[in-house]
Amino acid sequence: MEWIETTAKTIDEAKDLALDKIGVIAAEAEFEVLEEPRQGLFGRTRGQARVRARVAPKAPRAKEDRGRRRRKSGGGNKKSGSTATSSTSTASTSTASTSTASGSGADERDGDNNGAAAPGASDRGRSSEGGNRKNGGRQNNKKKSNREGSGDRSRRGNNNMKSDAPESSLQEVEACVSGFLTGLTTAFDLDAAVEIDTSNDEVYAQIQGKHGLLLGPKARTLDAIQELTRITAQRTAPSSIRIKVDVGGYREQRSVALAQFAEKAAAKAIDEQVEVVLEPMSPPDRKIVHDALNDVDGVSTRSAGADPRRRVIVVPDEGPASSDNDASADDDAANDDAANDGDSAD
Amino acid sequence: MSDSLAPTAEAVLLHLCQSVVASPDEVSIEASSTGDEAVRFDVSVNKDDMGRVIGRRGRVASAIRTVVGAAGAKDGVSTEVEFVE
Repeated sequence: MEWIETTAKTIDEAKDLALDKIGVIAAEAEFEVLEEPRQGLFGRTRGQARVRARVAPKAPRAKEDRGRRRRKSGGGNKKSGSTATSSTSTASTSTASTSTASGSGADERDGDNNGAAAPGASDRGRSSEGGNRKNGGRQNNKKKSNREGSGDRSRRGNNNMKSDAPESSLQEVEACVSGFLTGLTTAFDLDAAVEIDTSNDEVYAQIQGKHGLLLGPKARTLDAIQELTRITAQRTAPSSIRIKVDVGGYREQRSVALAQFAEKAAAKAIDEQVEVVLEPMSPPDRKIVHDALNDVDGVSTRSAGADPRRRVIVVPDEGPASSDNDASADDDAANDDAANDGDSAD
Repeated sequence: MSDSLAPTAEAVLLHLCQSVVASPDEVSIEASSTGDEAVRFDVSVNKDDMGRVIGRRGRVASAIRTVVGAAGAKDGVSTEVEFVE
């Protein structure tokens, strides 16, 4: 895993910059603060914040880091444990913090969940003993319906912390996703059942019925719902489990249509022996195209460009291509399709 | 909580905000009419939750606005969502 280093005026800015560079959300990144911005005389910032980041092997570790830093800057240190941590201020590493006494793991976690919580908030989190994560408690309040007891959950979370593999179980994520989406459809006052299909490493939530309202123009609403689902799930049950949300089979249908479009583009590339540059698409859409053409003889695919405008290029193989695909000129409709992808990627 | 202006949008907004914050009890929404078919929601959350409802580069906030917009369509209004501490 590669580390990248960024500098900015504040730690948060540097962190943001780093996230942009590695292209993941904060929960999936791991940070090390190499240098905190020093205040010069008269409030002028003299030193820059230097942050090192990489895609975290484990998501919640990054969160832990973030919490620790915030708490530090909030000046709300209360526990001797945390003061000890902050004494490593300028060159603290995340690994250092995780390897502190195992007992303090839970406390770290607490602080993290309080987020930027300054002094006042810490009482809440601290009052519960180590095993009872703040998170578990909150989750319980919020979604009584789908969580039987936080005790068991919290314990597990804690164990995970120690084993350095803080994964919430598939069931936990599933319960969280289903609770969120059921609440959402209820709020929408829609009669839409939520069906969850969980495979090994993916939670696929299907909102039953053709609800155009939940889909929105170019599936923007659906994408927003999916994003909020992921965020909620990540905050209540941190894991690296993939979450997909679909309404009335929309995504499935679209991926079929997209694959067909990709095959037409491949046929064109083979027939005319030219590279066919597709419209910009979102990463998941590009994957569908790559996958669809992986099995097609005579072409290969690559991507070019930077992310909002990144596009797939279909390249015909050298030499006599065995073309058993029909060439078709009627890819106008399909082109629109691709244009849609590009937009929804924004 | 005033339900008359845009009940669906408000319910959705409340659900979304409570889902992403750490202190769901401290989420409150104030709806005000800003025109014929336009409603403005002022969402106040715990100070520490501001980052959570806004998200990195406003991603969470814009996702919330998108979904609330859809809900508002059901109520026949356009919506505006502001987050205040």
